[in-house]
Amino acid sequence: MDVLERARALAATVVLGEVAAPTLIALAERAAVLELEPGAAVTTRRPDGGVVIVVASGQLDGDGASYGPGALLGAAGALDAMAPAVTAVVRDATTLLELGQDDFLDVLAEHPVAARALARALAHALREARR
Amino acid sequence: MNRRAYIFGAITLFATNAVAVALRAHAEAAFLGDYGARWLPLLLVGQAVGFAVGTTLYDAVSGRAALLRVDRALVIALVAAAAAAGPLVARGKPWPFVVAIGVVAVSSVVNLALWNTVAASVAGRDARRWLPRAGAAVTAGGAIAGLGSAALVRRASAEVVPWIACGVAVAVVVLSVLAQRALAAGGAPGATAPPGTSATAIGPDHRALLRWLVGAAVLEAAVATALEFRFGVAMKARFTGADLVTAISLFYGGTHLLLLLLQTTIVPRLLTSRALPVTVSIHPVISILGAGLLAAVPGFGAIAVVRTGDWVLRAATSRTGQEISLSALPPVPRARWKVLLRGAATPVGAALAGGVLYLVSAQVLKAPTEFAAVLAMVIVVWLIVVRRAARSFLAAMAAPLGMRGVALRGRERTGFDLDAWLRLVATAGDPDPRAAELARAALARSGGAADEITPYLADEDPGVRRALYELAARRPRPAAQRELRAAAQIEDDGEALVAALDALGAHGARAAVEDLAARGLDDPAVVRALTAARVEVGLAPASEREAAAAALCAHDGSWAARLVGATAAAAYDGAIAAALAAGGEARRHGLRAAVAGGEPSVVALLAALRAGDRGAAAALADLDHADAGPLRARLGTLPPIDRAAIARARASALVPGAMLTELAADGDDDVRAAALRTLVGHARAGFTPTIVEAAAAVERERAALIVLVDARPGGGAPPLHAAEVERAIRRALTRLVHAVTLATAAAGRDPGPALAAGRRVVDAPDPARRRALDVLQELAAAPLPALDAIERALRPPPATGDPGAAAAVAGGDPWLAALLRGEHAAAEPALAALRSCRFFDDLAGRHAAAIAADARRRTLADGEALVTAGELGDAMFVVLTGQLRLAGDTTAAPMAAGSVVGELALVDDAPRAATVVAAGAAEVLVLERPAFVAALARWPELGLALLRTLAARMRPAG
Repeated sequence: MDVLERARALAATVVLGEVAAPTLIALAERAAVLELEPGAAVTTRRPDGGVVIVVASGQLDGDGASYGPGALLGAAGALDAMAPAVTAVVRDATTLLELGQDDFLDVLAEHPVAARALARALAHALREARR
Repeated sequence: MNRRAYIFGAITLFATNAVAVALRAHAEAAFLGDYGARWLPLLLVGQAVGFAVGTTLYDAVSGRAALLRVDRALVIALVAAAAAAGPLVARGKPWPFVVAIGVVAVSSVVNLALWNTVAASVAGRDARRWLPRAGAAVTAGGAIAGLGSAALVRRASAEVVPWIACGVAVAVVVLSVLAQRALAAGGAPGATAPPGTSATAIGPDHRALLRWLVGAAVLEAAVATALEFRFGVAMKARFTGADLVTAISLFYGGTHLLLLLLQTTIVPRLLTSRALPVTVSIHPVISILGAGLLAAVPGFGAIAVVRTGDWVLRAATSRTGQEISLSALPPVPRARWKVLLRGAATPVGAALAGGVLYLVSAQVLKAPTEFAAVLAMVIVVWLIVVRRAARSFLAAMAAPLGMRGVALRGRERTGFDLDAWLRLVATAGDPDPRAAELARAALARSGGAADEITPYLADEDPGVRRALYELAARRPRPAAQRELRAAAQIEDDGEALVAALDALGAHGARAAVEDLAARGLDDPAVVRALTAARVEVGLAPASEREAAAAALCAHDGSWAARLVGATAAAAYDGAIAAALAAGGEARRHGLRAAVAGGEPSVVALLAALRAGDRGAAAALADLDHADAGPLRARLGTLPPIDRAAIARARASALVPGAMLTELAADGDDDVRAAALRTLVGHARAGFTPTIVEAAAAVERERAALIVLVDARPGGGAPPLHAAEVERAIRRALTRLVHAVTLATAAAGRDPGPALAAGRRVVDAPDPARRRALDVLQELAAAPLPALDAIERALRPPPATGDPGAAAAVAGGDPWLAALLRGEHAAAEPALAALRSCRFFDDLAGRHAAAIAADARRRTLADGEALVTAGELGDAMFVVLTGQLRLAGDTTAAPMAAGSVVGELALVDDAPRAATVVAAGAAEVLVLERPAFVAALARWPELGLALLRTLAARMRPAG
């Protein structure tokens, strides 16, 4: 994936969708690309530090949920060390983008539009969890 | 730190080294007098083996018996060795050989054991600051003993030296007991594991660190032994009898004196300001130069200089570097490995080198150049190993902070990829506006100046050509004029031609505009652009400038702003007002044009920005720094809230621009915070400030932080006052961390890791903050005063404050100064209530006070509903007293004072998810929706607090 494809994958998420193009390009340059085969497991908590994962293509299943292109995994873990890590298993061949938690937090701090979008997403997730 | 234990420990080390140097000089001089050069490697091997045996025994015994008793027995052994040295050496062969080995073994092990007492009395940056000074005490002992022995030999005789040493050794016994008692009484901060970490367990990073440290110790000792051998041979050839004793004593005295000078001046500064890779590289790098000197001038002077340098740097930088590296280990293995590194790894290196030298000593003496070449190769390997050790140290320090990956990440440097660049060019004209926008941003980041993109203006897709013309207009280059002119002459797409005229105008391409004017164009958009371009290149009178710019306001706001420059008047503002009123694309362009407008336009732009209009934020982001003049000139007249909003809006800009740098030096701390945060974002994207700008920002924020740290009220102050000062310190610390991040970027280093460490310095729990400061020092290009200021901010507040210092706060934060003077007494209860909720923790006091003043209170009776499921939310609440609970849910934890309730409905506009009732009498603070939304827009830190609150609710139950 070149930087433009990576940036487009980031822009496909609800949280980063409205972040300005220069920021997304800079973030895409720092994102690591993971290409995974079916059956592979991914988690947002690593020995090297936490990550936030963006699904660029393919499908994953985990914690009773399914994650497709545009899904963002591990945002709550970046904000709160005690929030549960997201663990998922690849269903179809999948391409993921990995962002360091610090990179993700920087975007939230610099771009209130992303913070607002994430707040809405977390509020929605909380409501779903309470149902 | 435990000052008493440190002082006694340092004096003990001073005396111990004095004994060691005097005995060593005496015995080695006797040895060199009695034995041939071929015996010298055997002495070096013998000393290494003796030290290794001594430390191995010490390690084994100290694991089984009480450490205090072992240490005392060792010091008594030193007294015995000193008493026996004189008579034994006087007997002649083989006793000088035996004594030279025995004295080194005993004194080195004693030194090692006593050093642990000193190291245990300090921790963290105190260790970096005070351990070199303890090292200086050791050195002072060596200097006095060396120079004193030389004088004694001249005035009395060499035989007096060991007896005086014996007397001092008796004093060491007393001093060591006092040091150990002080340590037992006052505690050992350097021997305590941080809370939440094991005192004994070591992980993979620790093991990697130890492997590299062992390698470094072996190589360092091998180099030292080789130099020692050459030096010993040279001494023997040059001096005999009493002169030899004097020369060796003077040598020890002189080198210790030089070392003392370094340890009291440069070394503490080096250790507290530079990253470990720098510190540990100094010794090998200078040793490589020394090897070069030996090859070029293989005489006595060269080897004396090189050997002295090696000896001095080993203690000044390598030993302290090893000490700092070991601080990444938990306390128990740290103490053990310190012994093993010096007592096993170092002797192994020395013994190996000594063995090789014994076998090839004749060749070494005959071929000095080859000797120097081999030595240089070994030193290069040593340099690589010490740098790997420093990297492992960083990994071990960063891992518990959850930033190992960030800390070790190298700065990515990707080469220019023409295919990828061409794909960007093609996508720049994509019908999907988001894809095109991303491609243009990527093009701009990858260069994208006019002369680089003009070769692609022949693209068949008019959308691509238009995008390239627009980029050329943004980044004009004189060299591009000719190709732009040629492309514009054959341009047949109307929109692309408008963009081409924009680019030609930006380039001042008079002849090209004349060509196009002669074509008789009649498309209204093209005619409008042509008129503007003619004005811009000087083909039309300047009096038409404002009219031409006004005509562009609703169609190309950026060009309009560029064209009008600083000459905007009523007609231009009128055109902007019309564009804003028209809405849609015209409004978008009108907002862009407004940045160069008069006061009505700027007021309209800022009102839109405050209302959260993304078009306004985009206009400020798109504002090319060359066009910033009119707005910059007005900055001083704008309220801080608007200046901060402008700084934040620039986060989406392609380049930071000079206006942002100006805002980073603003008098208002909110504005500076926003500008620094934005500049950090740009620095991470590769647009770094100059070193001078970054240094100025660091100094500004350091000074602001220190004023607040000095103003900490003492223990008797009202808790709210103390807490508000601490919050202000935290915000100042954040700004300083951002400034340091900019300085790191300006120095050419990746600012990301420094920023990550800085975030932990500000946000992490207390013990981890100090560790994060150590990591920050490793990753940032931070000046010593800035690191010291951060360290001071992390210390607990003093028991008594300085009332005079509080007045100094008035310059930076008049509200805080007034609070400390008691002038906000009436508002304090409301503020204290709001501050009981962590949600508002990061907000500046004056803003929190404003919110608190606007909020109303509501009292609830037992069982009364605060919110009801299904109703639309129009407020959020902070529990002040009593408790709330979810109706019908007995398992959920009650919401106590400080809890936030009802914010979900304000975030996503959905109906209330649950009914919340009072569990007993309760009181809440009510924040109405408009006030909450306005606060979120004004102070983004509230948005982050909101996110953290929501994320915390996702924690698993229990």
